[in-house]
Parts: sequence; C-alpha cells; structure tokens
Amino acid sequence: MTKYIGICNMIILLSICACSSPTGLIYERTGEVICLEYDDRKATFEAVGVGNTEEEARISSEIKTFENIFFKGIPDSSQERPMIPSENQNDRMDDFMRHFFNDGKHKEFVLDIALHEKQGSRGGYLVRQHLSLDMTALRSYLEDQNIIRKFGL
Amino acid sequence: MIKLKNVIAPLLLWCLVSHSLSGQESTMPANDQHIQPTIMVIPYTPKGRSVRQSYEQSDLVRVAITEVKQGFDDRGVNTIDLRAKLKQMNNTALLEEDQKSDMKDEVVRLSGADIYVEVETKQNKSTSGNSVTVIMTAYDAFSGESYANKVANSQRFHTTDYGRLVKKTVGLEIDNFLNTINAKFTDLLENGRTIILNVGVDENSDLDLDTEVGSDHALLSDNLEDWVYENSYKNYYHIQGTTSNRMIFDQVKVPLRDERGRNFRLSSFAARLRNHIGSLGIECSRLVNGNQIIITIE
Repeated sequence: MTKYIGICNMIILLSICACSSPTGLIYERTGEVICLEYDDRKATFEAVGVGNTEEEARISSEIKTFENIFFKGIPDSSQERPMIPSENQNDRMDDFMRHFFNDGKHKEFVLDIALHEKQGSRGGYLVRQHLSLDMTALRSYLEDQNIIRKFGL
Repeated sequence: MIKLKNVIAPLLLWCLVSHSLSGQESTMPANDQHIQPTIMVIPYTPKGRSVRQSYEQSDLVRVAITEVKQGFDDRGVNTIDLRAKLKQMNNTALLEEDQKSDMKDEVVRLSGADIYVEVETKQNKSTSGNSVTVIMTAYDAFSGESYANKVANSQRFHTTDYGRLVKKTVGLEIDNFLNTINAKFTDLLENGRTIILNVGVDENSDLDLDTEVGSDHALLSDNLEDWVYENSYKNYYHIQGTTSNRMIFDQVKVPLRDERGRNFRLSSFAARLRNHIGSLGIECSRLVNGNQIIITIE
C-alpha cells in the first residue's frame, strides 16, 4: 500500500512540475562570446544565449555579442578593446542602445547568422550562434551617431 | 497570436537591454572638436642607415607601409606619403649621405607629422612553413612618446610569397593598432600632454633657486612650483628633483588646445613663465625644443 502511495505522490509531483509555468531566466551579460575568424572588415563570433524560448535565447546571444564588442572587447579579434570606452557610457547611451536593439538596427550589421547548437525544452533554452558582423560599418555608424569618437584628436 | 508576438518581442528586447545597461557608470565625454592629426608611416631604420635605404631596399617594408597607410585611410585619416616627402627633401638637397645618421629625425621633423609610425618586418623560415613578423610602433613626433605597439605574427604557410603574408598580417592587426592609438588620443584629451620643464641658473648669475622672492619671501623654487601647479593642466606635475641651481619638472601636463580651441603652443607656456619670472624682478632666457622648455635664470 505504501508503495502505491509513494508512486502516486511521485506522479502528482511530476504533474505539478510539468504543469507549472516556466521559471523566468534572468538575462545577464556574460563573456560567452569568442571570435572564430576576422579580417580587416568583418568578424565572425560564436555567442551563447539563454532564454525561456528559443527565440529569446537567440536574441540574447545577439545582444551579448554586440555588448561584448561595445563594452568589453573580445580577445583574439579585431576588437580586443571595448569599442565604446567606459567614459562614453551615460544616459544618452542607454537610449541609443534601446533603439539600437529594439528597432532592429543591430541586424543591419549582421552579415550572416547561423544556429550552431540548441539545447533545452520547455522552461529554458540555450543556443550557440555564429554571427558574422560588418565591423567597419558598425564602427562608422557609431561614429556618425557620436557614440564613439572618430579617429583623431 | 501573431500580433501578440509582435508586441512581446520588442518588450522582451527592451527588458533585456535595460537590465544589461542598468549597472553601468555614467560620465560624459565633453569633446566636440575634432582635429585630424597628420601621420606618416616610415620604415624602422637602424643606426647607420637612412630612411630612404630602409624604404627602397625592402619590398616587404613597402608592402607593410602601404597596408598600414591603407588602415589609416579606411579610418578617414590622411597620411603623409613618405616617398613624396623623400623626393621633396631630395630636391632641397637634404639627403646628403653625410646626414644619414640622423635622417629619421630629419624626415619626421620636416614632414610636419604629428605622429609617425615605424614599421619593421621580419621573415621567419622553417621546414614547417614560412611566416612573417610585423612590428608597428606609433610615436608622438612632438615628444617621442610611444602611443601604441603591436607585434603581429602570421600563421605558417608553405609559401615564399612573403608580401602576401605581410599584407594579411597587417590587415588582421591594424584595427587593434589604430584602436590603441585612438584610446591614447582619448587619454591625451582627458589628461593633457606631457612636457618637460628644466629651470637652471646661469653660472654668472648672482641668484639661485633659494633666493627669496615676492612679498611673502618664498624661495624662488617654491614660487616657481606654485606657478607650475596653477598653470599645469588639471594641476598635474611631477618634480624629479630640486637643488639650489637646478629644478627639473619631468612631467608637466598641458592641454591639447588653448581656451580658444587652437592647438596649445608650448612657446606661449614658456613665454608666460618667463613673464612671471620677470614680474619677480628676475631676468631669464628660455629655450623651447620639442616638448622641452629650458629656463635659465640670469
């Protein structure tokens, strides 16, 4: 009898877990972006993204790639230093970044995007994407928007 | 359902970006003016060789110089062409063989470049493949201060086309090199340029730096230090040493531009210091050479 009760409890517990709404994943910028190859104009990065859905995870990896280029720099790439120096980060920058991502402006600099790996199911996804970016155009755009200084004094 | 998705996706993006930016520090760069420095790319020239020899005798160096120039061009910076400058100098008979020992300094000085970039190439041969090493160093022509260094190594290939290896190697690393230079520019704008100030006493002078001056009877050396404090950029200076007849400020920061937005002139800084010393009833001479000011109390 106790054996049946145990099995029933297990089934109920599993049912509750299966029916509960997915736990929200908190986005955080991590350094999970590496440069696969680069030349004097474009660079290809591999970035890991996580999200409640596959789409969220893919968006997360895109944002993470740009953010690492902007604010951290990526080793062994053409952008080893942060593209946007820390002193340029201010309220205006916040607005710019929201528009940059929300309006899909960032997609203009993506030459190619490919899903390399996907893991997960309901409740959480992890993707590994390859993004090729037009680095020269990206820098020129940031210069034109006065987000970064043009080369010179 | 599709409409709902269209609403949720931007909201999601907004949340992600807001969260990621919320922890960042906020300060504002306050520089709207923009002056393009003049840049010249030259070959690394060992002692005893002229720049012309270094340039003309190495195909690899010429390839590397062209690629570095191209990198600057891509960033919208015009460079001074070394070959044209050498021709011009040749026309003015400055390329005499007996001047070759200091040719690099001459070329840089006469070019009027603010920055010069030295490029050196090296071939590496081995049985597992050949590679090249390219060394790029940027200097401030004004002070000789190094702005950026980059050593770039190519991968090994079974080829003898070293020119192509150099082209590829420079192409891969030029962005990082230029980024480092630009970061240095930002630092210069923020913290000013470094000059050296030497104050000495003429051997025939009756005065020395321990002479009391002014209404408060301060020592001349203390008075000068106060003046430098007040007139250095962000009040930053460093004294290497002071004796009764010599005072060396090995670092005095001056702004890049004056209050009217023009390039800061070292001669005007020296003139103001000379006027200050004159106001104490003391005569002095001044010499300005590169980033160095020499004041001699007479």
